[in-house]
Amino acid sequence: MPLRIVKSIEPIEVRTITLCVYAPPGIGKTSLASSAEAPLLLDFDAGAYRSANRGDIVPVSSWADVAQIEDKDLAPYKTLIVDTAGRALDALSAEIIRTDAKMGRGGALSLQGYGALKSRFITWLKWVRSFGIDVVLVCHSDEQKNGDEMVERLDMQGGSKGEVYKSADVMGRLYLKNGKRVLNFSPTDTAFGKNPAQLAPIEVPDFSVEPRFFARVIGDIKAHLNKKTAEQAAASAALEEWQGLVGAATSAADFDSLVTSAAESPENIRTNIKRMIMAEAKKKGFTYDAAAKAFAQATPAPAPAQAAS
Amino acid sequence: MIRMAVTDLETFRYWKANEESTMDDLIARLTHREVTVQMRAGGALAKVIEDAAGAQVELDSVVRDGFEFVFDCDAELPAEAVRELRAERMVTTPYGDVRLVARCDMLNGLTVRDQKLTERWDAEKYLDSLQWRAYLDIFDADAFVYDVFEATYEKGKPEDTVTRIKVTGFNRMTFYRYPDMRKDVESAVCELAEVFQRIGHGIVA
Repeated sequence: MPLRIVKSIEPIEVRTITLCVYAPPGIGKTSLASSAEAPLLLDFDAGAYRSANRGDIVPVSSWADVAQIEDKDLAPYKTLIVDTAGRALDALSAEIIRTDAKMGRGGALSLQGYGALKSRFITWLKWVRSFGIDVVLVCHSDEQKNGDEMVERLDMQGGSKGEVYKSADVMGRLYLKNGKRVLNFSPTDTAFGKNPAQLAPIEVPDFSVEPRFFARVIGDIKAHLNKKTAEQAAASAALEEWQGLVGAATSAADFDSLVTSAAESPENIRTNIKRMIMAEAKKKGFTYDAAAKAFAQATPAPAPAQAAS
Repeated sequence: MIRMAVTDLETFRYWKANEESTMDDLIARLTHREVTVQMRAGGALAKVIEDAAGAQVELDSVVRDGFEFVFDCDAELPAEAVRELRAERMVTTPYGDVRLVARCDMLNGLTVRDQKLTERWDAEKYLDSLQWRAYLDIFDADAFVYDVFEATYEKGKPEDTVTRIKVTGFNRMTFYRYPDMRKDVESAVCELAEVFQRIGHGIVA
């Protein structure tokens, strides 16, 4: 099991994503998740009956109920809702201890048990996503003290919440503001978030007016991610090319020429290209005369720069 | 003008989150940065990755700067990245202009990557971090990836010249720029600039 440093693979179209939606109990997380496209809800929390717009539901009493999910089970669906992820992890913990007593201590998971929990949960998530569906992890939140502030955190056991934070491509919280439900994916001083589509806070509509509201939001996020994936691939290739050009520069004239060319480079990487040129020129003993807009050989060669951060 | 590193912002955030910490603790952390074994090991691991310099490599174990890293986990990093790029951004505050400086481990297209070596994986620490917010802003990037190596330091014999580190886990977390992110960074810079001015730290010509 090594450390591998490899050439990046070609950009892959984002077809499915994992989202985490969290809120205190009673705000309407299940109803929101149920407005996703063709949802199947795994009801670990026995609370789906409260949802006004629920679709198909699988009542789950133990992990064994979901461990053997197959593609034919999920074929009619586009979204799998895990409600709640905390209770799902509790069910998986119980299953791990039941099948191997060494994994538990006093009814709770041992350190080794936590390792198994992390590994099995991630494997299961990958497994269900391989069937081409989006996964929505519904989570309760609670408030915890952090310094002088109260902060919102996922309400689930110990280290397992780290797996939810890690596996969620998108994370948003649902809250009430002036009597309206608001979905916000941006983090704040007191709450977590992952907002790859840079969405502004969204007022959640009445589901009788827009029954597939979350399907629209998920669609927007995927479209944005795919656009960004393509931009990222182009930027990565361009920076790699520039790295070669900058590394090959040996004279003040070479660096002057690179600065001129950099002005024509794509805007989203231009500043970093200029930084690369400046860093390499400095490393090779050249200084930049901003007034003359030209490089010159510095004498003597500069001392190694101090670490910045 | 004030020179402030993104590391200083993180030091300030930790300090604020700890109710027991005093202003003296903060000053000590900002002005006397002790280089620990863990920090040296992190630096050595960064050099291992930097040594690859664009080449594709596969390492089961490697020795660098007095540390032997044994990889007992699967970890994958991109080869084609700009390494150790420095950048800065000016922030205007009521306490003077601040030159906020940063150095990223890797820049891969529009993605900044940072490698961490830790004895305990704590996802919430990274979610809360100002580092990824500041780096996304300073490097004009869209995504920031933490590649976090979990490791245990193995006790050696007193005569050992190399510290053996077993890398047992690898966690990856990605963060994205969001609306108002710059405002959050500037707000933190402004708050810390007041402290810098009060204690006379980081003032440059």
